[in-house]
Amino acid sequence: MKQAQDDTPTTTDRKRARRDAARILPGVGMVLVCLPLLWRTGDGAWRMSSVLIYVLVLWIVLIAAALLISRTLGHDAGENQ
Amino acid sequence: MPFNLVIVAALAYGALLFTIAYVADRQKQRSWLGTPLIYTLSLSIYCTAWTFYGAVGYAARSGLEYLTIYLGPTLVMVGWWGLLRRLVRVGREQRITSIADLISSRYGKSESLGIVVTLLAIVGTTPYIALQLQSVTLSLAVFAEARGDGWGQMEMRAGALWVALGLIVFTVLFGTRNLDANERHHGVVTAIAVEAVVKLVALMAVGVFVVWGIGGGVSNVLGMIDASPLADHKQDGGRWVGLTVISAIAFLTLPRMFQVLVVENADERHLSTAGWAFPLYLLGMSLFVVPIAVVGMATLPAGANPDLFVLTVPLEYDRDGLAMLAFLGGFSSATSMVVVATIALATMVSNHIILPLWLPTTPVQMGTSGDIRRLLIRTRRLSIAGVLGLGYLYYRLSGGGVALASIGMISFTGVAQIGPALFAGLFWRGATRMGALTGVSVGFAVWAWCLFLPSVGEAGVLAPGVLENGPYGIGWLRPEAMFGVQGDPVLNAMMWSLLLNTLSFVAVSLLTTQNATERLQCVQFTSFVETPRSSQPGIAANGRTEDLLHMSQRILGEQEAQAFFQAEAEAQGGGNGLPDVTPVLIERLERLMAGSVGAATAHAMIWQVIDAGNISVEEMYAVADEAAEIMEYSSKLEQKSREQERTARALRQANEKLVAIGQQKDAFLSQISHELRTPMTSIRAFSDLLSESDITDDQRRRFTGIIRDETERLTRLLDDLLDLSVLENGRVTLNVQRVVLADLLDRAVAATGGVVGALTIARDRSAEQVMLQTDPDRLNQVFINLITNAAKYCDAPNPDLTIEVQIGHGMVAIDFIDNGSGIATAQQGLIFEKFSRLEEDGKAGGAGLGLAICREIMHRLGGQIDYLPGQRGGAFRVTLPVLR
Repeated sequence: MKQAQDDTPTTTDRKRARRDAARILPGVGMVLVCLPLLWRTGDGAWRMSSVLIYVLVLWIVLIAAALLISRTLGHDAGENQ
Repeated sequence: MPFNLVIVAALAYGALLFTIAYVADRQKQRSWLGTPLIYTLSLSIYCTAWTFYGAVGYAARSGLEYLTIYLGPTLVMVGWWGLLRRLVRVGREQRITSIADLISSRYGKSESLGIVVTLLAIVGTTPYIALQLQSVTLSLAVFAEARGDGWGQMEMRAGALWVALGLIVFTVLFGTRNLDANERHHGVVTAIAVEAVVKLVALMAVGVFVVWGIGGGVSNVLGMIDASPLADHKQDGGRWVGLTVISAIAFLTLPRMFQVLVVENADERHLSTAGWAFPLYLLGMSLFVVPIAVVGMATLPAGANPDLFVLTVPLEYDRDGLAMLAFLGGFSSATSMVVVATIALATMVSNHIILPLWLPTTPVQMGTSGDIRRLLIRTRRLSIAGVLGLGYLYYRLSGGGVALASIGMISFTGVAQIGPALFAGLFWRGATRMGALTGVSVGFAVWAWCLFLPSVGEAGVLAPGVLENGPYGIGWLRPEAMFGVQGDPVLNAMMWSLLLNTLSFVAVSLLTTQNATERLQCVQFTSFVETPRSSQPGIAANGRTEDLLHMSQRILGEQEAQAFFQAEAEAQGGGNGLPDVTPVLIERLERLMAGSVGAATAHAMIWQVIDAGNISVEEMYAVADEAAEIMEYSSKLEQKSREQERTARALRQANEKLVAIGQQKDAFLSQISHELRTPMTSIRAFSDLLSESDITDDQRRRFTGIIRDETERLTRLLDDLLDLSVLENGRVTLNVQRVVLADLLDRAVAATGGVVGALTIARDRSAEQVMLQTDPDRLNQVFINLITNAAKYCDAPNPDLTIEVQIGHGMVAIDFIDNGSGIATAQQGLIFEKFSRLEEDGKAGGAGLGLAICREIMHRLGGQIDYLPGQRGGAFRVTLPVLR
């Protein structure tokens, strides 16, 4: 990947960290999506509304993380064209 | 609401979409078209009528499980950097036209794989199309029922048929007006973006009405959720994980999703926006599903179909406008899915089934301009009708009464069978064509047996009893409980199909090897570089440009083909006229044609023209190039090391010479001291004797005689040494004159008169009349030396010396041959060295420098002196240039 002239090692490291974050995001997301399966209360059922709210919040968090990654990596994706 | 109004609205809506598509296609300035927003909205064809109607029904039956269908794609999208970016890059670089094209291209442009994937895609999509027909028909039935005449079985079938026919006309008009290079459909994509907005707005409008219009706010609705029967649903963990994974895979392998994700992608950067915006869209679509389901169950009479709550709840509350919007939303979902799916499938059918079948029957060199193009468009139209026809057939066979969600799940599992070949194709270099073919086929078969056939089985496709007892009573082959594993049939089918698919794929890949084309393609697909790669390695081509132009005109049309060749000719610097057939030209043309007919077909057609398909050897050479380079480099290294070895050897020899010279010097010094010492010793001894008083005069005379002789010998030795040193250092000045050889020899014989004694000298004076230009004194010195030597060393009882003269090749050779025993072979090489006296005692008083001096003199005079072996006695030859 072409780096700009004024890139210091720190910025390169940071870029690499962002790329790594972009790669592991779906894996982390999968684990969090499956988390409610462990929440079985005494009678073995989910408390419907709280699971729904959890999933919706998780969804928003994933979207926010993807937005953050796109902001920082979007230019990198284009620079190869 | 009048039923006819609904029909009119649907038709008007269709006309509006068509106008939008038409305008977008005509738009010269497409700046607003290729935006990330349009790209993101076009992905919304993931949300079909299954989502629009079916999600609510799914939630009503299975609680929150419907979320998995949207969480899977969400995870894929937020992880766009790792997987999707790679997929889109490969798709763009290789001008991929469909998922079948991608798989076929990756595995060596294999036609058989293209056919298998196309068949799988068709069969896998058929239930999905049936689902759309069913949902639109059901929604129409709702309005018909509101009018007062409930639809029975017959009316439903007729309705579905009409819907199917309408969609055929709509899609043909939409999707096959042109055969776009690279299969991009700007108009369709724009219309789909509009539909995306319509269905999102419609569903959210119903949701808002349900939550705030009926439910009385968020907290009330949450309470209703916990109190509803939904809350009692026990979520199965396996299904939760399995469905999330399968929908993530299907999101990438569904033909229509691949079409919008990869083929219609105008710019890789759009992914970075879609990466967060599409999950947001999915969130919006899923947000109100549970509230609508809960409120519908609470307010509508028991037995109402939950798949239609989106429509029936507003109607129940007499919100006709909202109901109309909801209908159009559902209509949008169904039509956009059907349009894109059938276009994608039609492309696959024409490129991977019709063309390969048609090609061998018609030589490529024949035919008229644009005929393949027309054939393609015709087959695509027929394919669209065929696919929709199959969808209708499935609808009829499955009875039309199944829940939407379960139909969708059958499709998902079917197309997900392409997943292993796809992912391994991008990441695993060892994946082979045979492996992919086996894996996809095994997955296809298991899926068809476990899931697809049972779904239509009740209508008579499967023999009665097979579902319960297995085929021919073999229990462990029961479709819904393979290998005796009881439990959820869908989950079972998913697990077995993907597991056996992947296992056989990996096993066969490990057992088989790739051919040359596969190897090349594999590198192009798996080596993801951050910068665009250079062109393919050179492939020798010997085709005629005219043939290529002719053939490409038939596919691309006259104008586009000629424009391409013109541009290529200019790029090659030829200006007007046709370009040369270069590997670059072939590669570009192949990619351009791949945009219309798919990579495998384009490859086959071009190679049919340029070299009768005999490609593997040529391409093997290209692969071998790299190896050749490495070998060349190593041979260079080897050569270098050989050179170094040679230098070292030369150095070693020089060193040995230096050592030898040093040893010679030492030997010379010790020799010379010895030579000087001997006469000095005798001189001193006799001087001592002379100084004694009691010697006679006679004795004194004898002693002084000896002293004089020794002094003379010493002087001669010193003279010789001086002479030799002067000669060796090249500081001698020659007094060159013209002389006759006979005169010189006369002088030499005369000069030696005192010493020769008994030696008789035989000469042939007539042969000696040779004119020489030389230094007579120096040459005489050589002759005297040789005659003296003969006199000294010839051991015959009657010694004689023959002097023979021969002329030839501009040289004169003077041989001095005596009748003695000569010189032993071992010593012949030594006689010209300094101090090389053969006898120890030095009986003639020489110091052994004579022949060394002779050699130096002859060297200076431009001639040489050698020992002649094999004569009757000792023989020396003096060679000199003759005066011309």
